[in-house]
Amino acid sequence: MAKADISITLHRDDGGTDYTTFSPGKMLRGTVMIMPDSDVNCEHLYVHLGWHTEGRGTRFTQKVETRDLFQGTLSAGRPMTREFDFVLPASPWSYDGHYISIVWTVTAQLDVRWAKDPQHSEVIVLRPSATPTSESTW
Amino acid sequence: MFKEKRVSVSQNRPGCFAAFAVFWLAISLPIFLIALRDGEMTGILIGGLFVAIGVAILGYALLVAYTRARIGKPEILLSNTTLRVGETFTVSYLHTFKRDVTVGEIHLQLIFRETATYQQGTDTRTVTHDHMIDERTEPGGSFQAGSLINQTYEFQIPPDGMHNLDVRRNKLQWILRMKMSVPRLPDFVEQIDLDVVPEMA
Repeated sequence: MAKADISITLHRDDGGTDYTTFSPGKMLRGTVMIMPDSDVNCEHLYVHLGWHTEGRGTRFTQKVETRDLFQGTLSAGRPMTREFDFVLPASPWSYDGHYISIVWTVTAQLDVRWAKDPQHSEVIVLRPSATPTSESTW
Repeated sequence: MFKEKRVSVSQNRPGCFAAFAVFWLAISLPIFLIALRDGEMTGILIGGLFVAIGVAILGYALLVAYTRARIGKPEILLSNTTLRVGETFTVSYLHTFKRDVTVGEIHLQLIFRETATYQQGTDTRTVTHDHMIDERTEPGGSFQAGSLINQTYEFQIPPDGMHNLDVRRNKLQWILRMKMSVPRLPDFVEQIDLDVVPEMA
């Protein structure tokens, strides 16, 4: 089974220090780093931007955009870094409610043949910057 | 400036209740009558219970219809039909009573509702949770036929609020609800779905 450590680092263009909260319509930039434990024949290195619901209701998942960043062989112990960017959509905003939550994620997925794809996700908050972010107070 | 009259949707649907009760009775009553004719005790007890439930539903539907006939239909007008998060809007509440009636307090409520549907075994279940965001209350009292309530209220979608969302089995919805209690009768409830878009005011 292919094994690799995957990490995602998100960047801001506006000089802000909160690397998890982003405004709709803005550019989200990031870097994905892969550190394989063994040689891996990578069909694709995908980065997905998407959201899903959490909570009591049946989970609804929406992939908004996908980038294919790499195809080829990853060598054991040699880190590989790729940059990506997405223009964030207008909605839905992140939400944390009683029965329903809306969760946005950036997910890096290493597509390998005949094995479970290693992947790693980072949660982001999509919300206009003029408002207090993430959790609703009501 | 009031742009548009919104059609209010009743939460108490006497017609639906009545139709369901008639359907229920159409099935349970013949079974009960057959059991009664044959003198079968188990059939009489179970059939009687089902008939009693049907009669209770029909009675409730008639009471709701009677309440609506006594109260009359209020007009609720909104300053804006499409709202943004953080936006303030005005609600004009105009109610002419058809008949002499005594009512309890009148509540106008801004509600954010979460509706989640999920599967449990073979059953599909739906749960809702209402966040009461704001409420205005008018005192109740005795109103004569032709009496008029004409009030204007200001509400705001909170700046840290959420917009509407309707995806499969998950729904977030803004509602304006008018609730009026009438002694010895079911509450009179009207509601308007608000369209809150993902934009900041």
